[in-house]
Amino acid sequence: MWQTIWFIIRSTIISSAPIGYAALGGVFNERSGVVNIALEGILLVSSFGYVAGAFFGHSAWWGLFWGIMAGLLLSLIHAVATVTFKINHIVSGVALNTIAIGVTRMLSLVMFGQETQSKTNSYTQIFGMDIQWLVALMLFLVIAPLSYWLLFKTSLGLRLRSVGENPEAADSLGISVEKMRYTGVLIGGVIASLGGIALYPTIWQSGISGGRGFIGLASMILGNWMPIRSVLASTMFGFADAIRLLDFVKAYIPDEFLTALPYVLVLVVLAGLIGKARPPRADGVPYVRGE
Amino acid sequence: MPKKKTNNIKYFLLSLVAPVVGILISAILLFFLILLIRKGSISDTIHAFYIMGQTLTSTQDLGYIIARAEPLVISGIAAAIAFRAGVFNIGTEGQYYIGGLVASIYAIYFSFKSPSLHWLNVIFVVIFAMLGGALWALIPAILKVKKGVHEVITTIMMNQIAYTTAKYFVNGPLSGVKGGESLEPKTMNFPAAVDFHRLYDIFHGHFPFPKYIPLYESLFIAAIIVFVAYIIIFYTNWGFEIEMLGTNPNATKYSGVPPKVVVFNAMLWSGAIAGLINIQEIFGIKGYYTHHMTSGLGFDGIAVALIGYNNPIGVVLAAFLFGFLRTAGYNLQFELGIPNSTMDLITGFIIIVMVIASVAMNRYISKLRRKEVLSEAGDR
Repeated sequence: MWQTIWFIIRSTIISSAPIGYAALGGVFNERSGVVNIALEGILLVSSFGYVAGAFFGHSAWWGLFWGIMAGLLLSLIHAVATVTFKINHIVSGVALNTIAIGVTRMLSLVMFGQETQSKTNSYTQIFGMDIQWLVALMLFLVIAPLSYWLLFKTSLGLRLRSVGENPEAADSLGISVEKMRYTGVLIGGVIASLGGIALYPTIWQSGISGGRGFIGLASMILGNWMPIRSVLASTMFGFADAIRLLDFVKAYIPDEFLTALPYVLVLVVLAGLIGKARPPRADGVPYVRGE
Repeated sequence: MPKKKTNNIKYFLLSLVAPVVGILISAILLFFLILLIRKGSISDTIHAFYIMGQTLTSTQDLGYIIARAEPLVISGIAAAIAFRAGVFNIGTEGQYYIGGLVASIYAIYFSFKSPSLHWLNVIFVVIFAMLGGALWALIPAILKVKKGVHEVITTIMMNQIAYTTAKYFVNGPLSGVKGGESLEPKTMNFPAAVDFHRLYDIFHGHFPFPKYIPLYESLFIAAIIVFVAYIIIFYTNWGFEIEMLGTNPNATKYSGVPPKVVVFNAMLWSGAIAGLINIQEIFGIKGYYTHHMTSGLGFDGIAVALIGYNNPIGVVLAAFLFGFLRTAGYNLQFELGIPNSTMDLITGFIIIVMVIASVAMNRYISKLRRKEVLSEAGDR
């Protein structure tokens, strides 16, 4: 009995982590006024980055480094395209998701000799702890509270949010809108990369992100663009994922029903809750001075 | 007057700059990527470009290009209709799974079995596929109009639900897997009177068409969609209302057109057309339905619409560019071991470079226009 409960809790935490990190990454992006549907691509490249980095660097630390670098690089392209060149945020996101699929499959073929999956990586321990479990726990114990503190208790957070709410006002106070939006996108990118690392450190497969970046965005909206609430919203998806694996659930409920349930719930919640959920005012709007 | 005409040609040429720049810069990137993969062999890299050029000259490859472009044409039109109204229908992906599913249920249970009624079946397949797609766009459309929920998030949810719904039907009520026959989950086969093979048989039986050219009924349906979309967008009030809403929502408000109605209709029609995206594979090639069909056609269609400036003709050109890149990619993989996913990378890159270039060009064009208006005012 206790064993089953512990199993459910543990797998809920592990399954929620990629979604929660993506949601948190989304919070930083959108609070600064940039819509980022490339979170899906960030999960994919950082997952690949971890496996390839650890496999060829013979250490989980190299995995962490390359995982975060990969996600950061994709975010940087998004920031350059949307903030500097001011193109439509969703367009850039769609393109980056395509690029993420292409670049991971291409590199997988070049590095591992196979397009659809990597070789098995055995460097998954840091400080004698399983890195997937460690990174997943970190989300709830460290990263989520830290994000709340950063966004709502520091002057950097205040500036970042002001740029997402009212860039004209922020600009008139001498805050650089571009610099703040870069900050938001890049911090969000690093956080989302941790989600990719928590995905599956042992092996990378094409399509391993499986829409979790998009679900992270949904969690972010359910959490009303608040860091801790967004992470908690992600546990709903994680929980549904966790109980799917249990034998007695499998016996009574069709698997497809449980898979679809969280998405249906999101729609129901969105239908009832709107008015309370409010995006940052300048979310997704390119800022051009003097317009 | 003649002065104005030359200006229009000038603006048309300027609007071509972005796609050309996008393709050129991406070709340069592709050159260096291949150079990297082939470990610095310049002759191999040049040979790779030669293989890509050859793709255009073989009739077999031409057939593949058409077959790959056809779903993307429909998908691009579906996305473009929503984009023109300023709505982001990311849900075309799910809408074609459901459109195909509903049409398949018709084909399996309710279709006419007599071969002479084939064309009636084709019409009903189209209607049911459109109904299925529209049904899947209905919930996001209602939530958008009534509750103001952003359509990107609802359509993404609907995509996930669509896939599991399709999976449920294929594995459950519609399952047609017989023991030892195949490992792929699939529905029962469609009756022969439904299969989109009539035109193929006619054309290939009586004319010397190369057999790889996919002359299924679906190809002609796609052509009709392009034609109708073009007429609606450029020659009807409804197209004008959509255009106005997408470019200047305030003008719409003051002209008495209810924006919510326009958005709602654009979303539903986008979904209805999206329902038809994969009928080529389901009814032309496979003859049964499975959730393991080609995925990602919806997202590719969004890219196609973006590259084609949401214009039906542009969409057709962009879809053929995609079809060409994919086909050339397979040839490169086959002959030089260059992963065809390189082409995904290039595709994404073309979109970004092109959109950046077109944003810059638009700024330049509006500057030119302003200058022109000012100088005309000065003449008077």
